[in-house]
Amino acid sequence: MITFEEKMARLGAALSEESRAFTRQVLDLELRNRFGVRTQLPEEFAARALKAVKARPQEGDGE
Amino acid sequence: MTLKNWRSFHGENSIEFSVNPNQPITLILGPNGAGKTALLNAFTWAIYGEFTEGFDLRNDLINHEALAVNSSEIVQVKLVLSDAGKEFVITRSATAAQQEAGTNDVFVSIDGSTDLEESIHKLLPKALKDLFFFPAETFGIAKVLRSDDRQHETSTLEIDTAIRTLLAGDVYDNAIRDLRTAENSGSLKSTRRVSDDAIGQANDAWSKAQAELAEAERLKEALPALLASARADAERAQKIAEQYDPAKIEEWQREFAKRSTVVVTAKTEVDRANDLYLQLARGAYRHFVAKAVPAAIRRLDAAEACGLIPPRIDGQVLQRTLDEGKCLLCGEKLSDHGTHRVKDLQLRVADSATALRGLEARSDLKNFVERSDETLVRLRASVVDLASRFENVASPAKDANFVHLRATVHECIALADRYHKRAESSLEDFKAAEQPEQPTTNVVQIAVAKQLVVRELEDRIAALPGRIRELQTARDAALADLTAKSKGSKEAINKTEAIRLLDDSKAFFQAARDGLTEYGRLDFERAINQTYKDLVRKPYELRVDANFRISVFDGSEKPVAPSQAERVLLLISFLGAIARLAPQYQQIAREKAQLRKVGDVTTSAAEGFPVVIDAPTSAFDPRYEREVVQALPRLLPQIVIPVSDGSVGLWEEIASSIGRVYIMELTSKGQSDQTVRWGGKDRVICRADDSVTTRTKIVQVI
Repeated sequence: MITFEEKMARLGAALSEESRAFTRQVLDLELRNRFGVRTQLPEEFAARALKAVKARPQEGDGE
Repeated sequence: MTLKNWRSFHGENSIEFSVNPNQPITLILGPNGAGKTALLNAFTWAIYGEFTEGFDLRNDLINHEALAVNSSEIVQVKLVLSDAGKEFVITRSATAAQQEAGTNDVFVSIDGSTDLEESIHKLLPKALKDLFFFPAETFGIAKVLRSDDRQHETSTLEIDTAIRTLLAGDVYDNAIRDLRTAENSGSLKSTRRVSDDAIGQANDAWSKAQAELAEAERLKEALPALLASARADAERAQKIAEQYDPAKIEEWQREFAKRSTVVVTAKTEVDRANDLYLQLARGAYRHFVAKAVPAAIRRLDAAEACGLIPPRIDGQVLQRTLDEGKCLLCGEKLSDHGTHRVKDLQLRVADSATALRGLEARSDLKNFVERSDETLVRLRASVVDLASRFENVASPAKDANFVHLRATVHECIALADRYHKRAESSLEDFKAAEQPEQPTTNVVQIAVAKQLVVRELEDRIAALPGRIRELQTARDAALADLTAKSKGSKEAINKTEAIRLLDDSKAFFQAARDGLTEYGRLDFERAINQTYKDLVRKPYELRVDANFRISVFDGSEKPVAPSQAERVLLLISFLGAIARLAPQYQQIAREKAQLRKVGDVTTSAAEGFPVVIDAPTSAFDPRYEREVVQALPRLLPQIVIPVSDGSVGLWEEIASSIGRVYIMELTSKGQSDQTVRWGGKDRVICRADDSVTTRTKIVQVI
């Protein structure tokens, strides 16, 4: 059986760079707010996800 | 630990626990009633403000003797712990008013600086309270051991939750929940009226599919807790129902009904006899009338025979005869004698109306006699019937009069009263002496209903994974459809892409959360096998299933059924495994290395959290007791064991593994002086003192 680390590494590798970066942000915010008030986090995540998507290079950009 | 006025511990008492891993045991010997369980609860109260299951009188913490001397005395427990080079101090106290209200004050410091109570709970998570501070007498936690005949047994301890708590797995739980909420955030929904019908419909379909999936996922998380609670409820209800013996209750109720019926019947007889007596009393005058009336009738008959009634001579004719001094029929002059006779006759027939009333009276009297006879016959029949119900009462004669009848009824009343009192007394005695414990409500029905709730929840939980897969497929299809139809609307595309991003992240955290449980289970399985081998050195293999239930295998593929003693050893191994994992998992959590290290953790007796096990051998047959006592030093680097002085000899056999020994010296009235022998010396363990109700003092032996 593969170890937990391998399993999570594979799962992480399957994520896009954007998803990995976003997941790191989520984990950081959750850790930072673990014992604090967390009611704003869902809206924060939604806003950050939207911001990340908007920041994508548009078709034709950079070409 | 320092106790101040804690339950039976009067004044201040301190215990310094052994911290030598080669002598891991701190033994606290105490006679029954000295407060061993109270000592265990001093830990749980100080750290969590809570008590172990079955600990009574929770609002009665302050030592009574101290409170009697000074009503402002408080109860206080102070614990000093050290971990990773830091010193943690927690002090919890309560005044009399606070203990009554169930409140208290708590003060926490770390290395001398004030800190939050939560910092102690990070060190010793509340989810593991029942493991670190274990009332062995309540062995209910042994339900983690798998049992094929009672598959639905539950434990108050959720092991997966406990393991995730040690690993700070709540962060992953929170992330999943927050991401799910984010996916339904208003900022990711269409904020303006969708003009394109196709996009509008696709958006609605997506929202609906997403909401259904979110609800199913929410249920997947929420239902296990509900199920655990429902199982605990069902088990409690079952235990309550089992306390009552339906056969005994039915038999008692039948006997009660029988005796109650006898009372009611006897009372009916008393009432009936009294009523009959009343009727006879009301008719008592008839007894006299029965003699007087026939005499009156006879007189009236005689008067009639004499021609006085109805009168054959009119009174007016007699008056005229006297007025004229001659007979109106023959004209002969009246002599003096004749005049006298006529006057005499006039007196008797003077009032013809009175004579007529005499006739009427006779007729009434005759009717009355007739009715009296009927009444007498009827009452006589009733008395005969009543008398027939009493074996010792003779039936009245056929011509019995009222007096005779009353005598018979009087006899019946005395007997009926006696029978009634006897029946009542029998019923009262029965109620007082033989009443089995009976529920006030139908506990069996309640238990069945609660079991049905459990089954329903189990069915729902079993169906959820398949349902979630279906909903995920539907949701993905709806999102793909929406994405396809949103071409041209940049805002709509951005929102669907943001949802995909959130979804990817959520899937990652879900895998992490599930992995913490699954690989934590593997660590736990390895740890419990190691602990079990350290303890009993038996060639058993222990397997931990997905629900953290433990099965024992002896090399074959079929699990073996452990004996009661083996189950307790397994349970102690279970405690040891968690306590050994605890410091490693907390270190992993501190390093934020959960996803890298969980699943590869190995444990040993050299490292582990301390545990307090109250009376660990109380459930044992004496021949297993030695085995457990010998094994305990191999369990963990620090174990605190409050134990009865009864088996002190066994503990002395492992004296080299015991770092500290204390005696809980009990002083009370009605107690005889007793000693316990340790290290070749007799030590006082009980003192008699009629001036003291109960007082415990902690005395250090080594």
